[in-house]
Amino acid sequence: MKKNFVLILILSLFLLLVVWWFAIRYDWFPKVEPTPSAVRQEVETTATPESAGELVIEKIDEELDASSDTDFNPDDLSDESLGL
Amino acid sequence: MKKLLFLVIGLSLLLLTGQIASAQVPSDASTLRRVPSVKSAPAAVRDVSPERLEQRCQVVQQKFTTHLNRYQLNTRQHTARYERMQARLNALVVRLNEAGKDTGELEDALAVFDQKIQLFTDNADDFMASLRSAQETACSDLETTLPNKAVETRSLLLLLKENVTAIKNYWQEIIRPMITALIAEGE
Repeated sequence: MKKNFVLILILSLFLLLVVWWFAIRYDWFPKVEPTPSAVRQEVETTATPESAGELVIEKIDEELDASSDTDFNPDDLSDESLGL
Repeated sequence: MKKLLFLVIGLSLLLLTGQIASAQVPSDASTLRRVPSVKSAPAAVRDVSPERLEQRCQVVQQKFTTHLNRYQLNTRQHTARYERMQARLNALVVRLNEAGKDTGELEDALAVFDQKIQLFTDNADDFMASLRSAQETACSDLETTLPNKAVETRSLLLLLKENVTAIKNYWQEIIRPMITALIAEGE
């Protein structure tokens, strides 16, 4: 009885690991981005104007780094790639 | 029970191996890119039968649909990102003003920044409309109208790329140093 329980436990953990791998691999839980009002509040509630400035710089740098040069790539629409 | 355990683990491993193998298969876009261009064939041997044209237009239309979905997502993400940037910067101006700092120059720069973002939004709308129009044309006029539409759409996409670069550069070269200077004043 105890042996079966251990086996079921191992099996469940393994299946959980497989499901977790798929979730990460296929973005089943997309990142929820904050709304403009939430980020505004974040700046408003920072202790000092200086630290608010540092926070803004850090966050905007992060936002711009997250975008890629290939997000808008004219080569995607070349005659060759479209098969024209 | 043990047999069942081995069976499930074996199946899961098989599934994982399959997924890893499929990840190495070229993506949809790169596969589509390899479809040979009909233009490259000599005119005399180019197959222009209705069946062939129909088949070709469907492939081209599918490519436009893929791009349409992708660019819709990219545009939405960029617009949301810029809206958050504007919200942060406007809130910062209020805080710096309250602290008695002179934000006149920064506010002027932010007005230019807003114009650049508005330009991106307008150009993104034009680009998406052009891409949608090209997709609709694929099966109605593949030989003449579509190539012209593709040129127009491509030039709008190039414009959009330039807008994105201009926004990024303006932040890095103008606004960021201004904020850094204002922070340094208070320290």
